[in-house]
Amino acid sequence: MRYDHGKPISIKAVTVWRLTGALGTLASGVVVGGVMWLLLRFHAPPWLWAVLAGVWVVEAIVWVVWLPPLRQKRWRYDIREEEIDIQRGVWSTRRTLIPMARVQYVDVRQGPLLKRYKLASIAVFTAAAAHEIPALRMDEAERLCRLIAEWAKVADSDDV
Amino acid sequence: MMSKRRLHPVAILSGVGKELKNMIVPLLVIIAAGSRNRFSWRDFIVPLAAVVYTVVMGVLSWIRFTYAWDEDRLLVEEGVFVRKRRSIPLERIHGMSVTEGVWQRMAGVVQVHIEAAGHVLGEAEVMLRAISREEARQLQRCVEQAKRKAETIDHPASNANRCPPPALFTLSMKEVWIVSLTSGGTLGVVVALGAFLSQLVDFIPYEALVRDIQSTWNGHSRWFLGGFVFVVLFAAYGVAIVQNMVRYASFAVRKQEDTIVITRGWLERKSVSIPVARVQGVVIHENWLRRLFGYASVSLIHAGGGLDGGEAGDVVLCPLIKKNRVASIMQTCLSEYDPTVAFHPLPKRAKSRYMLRPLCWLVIPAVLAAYVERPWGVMAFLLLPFGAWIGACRFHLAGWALSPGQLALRSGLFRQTTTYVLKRHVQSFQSSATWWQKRKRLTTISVSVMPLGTRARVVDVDEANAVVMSRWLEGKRKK
Repeated sequence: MRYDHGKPISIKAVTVWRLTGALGTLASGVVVGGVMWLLLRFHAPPWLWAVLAGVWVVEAIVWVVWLPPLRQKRWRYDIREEEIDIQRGVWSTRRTLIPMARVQYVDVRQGPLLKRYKLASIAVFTAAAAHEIPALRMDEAERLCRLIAEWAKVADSDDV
Repeated sequence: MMSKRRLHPVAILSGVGKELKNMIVPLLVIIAAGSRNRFSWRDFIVPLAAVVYTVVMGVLSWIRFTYAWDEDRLLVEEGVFVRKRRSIPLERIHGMSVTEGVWQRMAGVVQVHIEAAGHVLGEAEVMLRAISREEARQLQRCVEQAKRKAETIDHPASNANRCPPPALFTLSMKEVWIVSLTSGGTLGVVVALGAFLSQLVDFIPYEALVRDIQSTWNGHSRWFLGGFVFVVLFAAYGVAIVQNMVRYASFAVRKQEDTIVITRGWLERKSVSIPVARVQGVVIHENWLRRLFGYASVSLIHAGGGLDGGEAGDVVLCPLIKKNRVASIMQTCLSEYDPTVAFHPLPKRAKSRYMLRPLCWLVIPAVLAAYVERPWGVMAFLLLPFGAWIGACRFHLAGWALSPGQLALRSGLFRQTTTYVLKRHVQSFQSSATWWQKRKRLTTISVSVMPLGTRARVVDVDEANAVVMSRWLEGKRKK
């Protein structure tokens, strides 16, 4: 199967994901630090300490350095008149097809981080699930949102 | 015309009864926890207040609940403190189930569960706890008429002297018995028992019990203990059988014009009606025990909540049916589905993956067992070829079938599932491949239909076939 069709999402997604990853590891760093402090208090063997620190460093590397660019590289979307085609995944590549006639409504979403980088994500809702395309340029997201709404209406009236 | 009506007072009893049933265990725990040493009247204040509150609220909410309908809409007002008015257009009502519970039967009324569009919002379900059977029938007729008007189709006026059409499918008493014997419900009862016991943790001295059990085990009465466990399991099995028999007694499926009507039940009579247009897919289950005798069960995926009291969107059409009758039932009830399609097998190169998969989680326990129980634990390795064999069986059973309007997926061994979905009901189609799968040019495909989370999945389909299936969904949709 071809795994390279469609358009990529914004390259700035990498920065956003790096930042969220960093925030996440900072939060877990607080927890890890707390556990380490407790271990110190109760004179735990030092190798346990090392293992914990190692796990945390690996986590930080994965979420901040390694994963974001890969995720951005693998993300593809294609919005055609008849269906929405989304592809993503680092280890397992998933490709999802959503018939336009099944689309119920579309959301444009923007958190503080996305806003700072002038990005937005759109979420497509069917009656069964929500499908999100993250980190698009803001004007692109607006345009797609309107486009999908338009096409979904047309497709729906064609459908029995 | 729209005169507000109130439910039959037995609704209070059934409502309060249900609430109390849910409260009884926590209340017992509170009483037991509060009276470690000896009972005093103080221990009963909280539970008593809770019970009184429930009863008062039950009566109040009955007083404040009114309903009415005319040709166009159903109007329900409810709420004790916050008034809620709901008006549901009759043509928007998608499914209705009529239940005669024990309470309702005593008063000669029925309970009507109404399902309308927009169930995702959680607001579209209406429960009329106790209305007379005549009213329920009238409501049903109004709904049918409203729908017909909405479709602007002129039906011949043959509906006036309509008698119920003959049943398409019934279960004999013997079959009800077989369903109950071979269903997986026993496990459910055991789990429920476990949950119940764990709620009583406060006043059963488990530690002492464990100590007792240990000493009993070390003594001569381990046979006694084994026997006890066996008896408990057997009793749970018995309870499950009785439950299922009550549930599936006098089971019948009818088709009235475009609606499938399923009636069943003994103590609690239930009739579920589902418009054919709302059916999103058909699932055929074959558990290994029933497959041995050539039986299967058929259920419908329908867009909406749990009309049948079970999982959302799942309604049992035939609890037990000879496999060779499935096709004819499906063709009469749901003519658009074609169960006779030939299934494509998976490519040969997927077989080794299927055989290895059960081994992944068998290897570690086997090695552990071999290490811990040194001489005889090696026998655990005999499990490995068995696991591989199971994987191979799975491989041979899995498959897919594509026809212009329909996709069918099959997988599973102990509970083999075959799902038929029409193209226009597919909500999304997904193909995914891990790095290992890509190397062998295989993909996992899954398809989702309307009620949340209902999807069918087949692992390791040939990549080229997955492309064919996604092409099938793409492009101009023409029926």
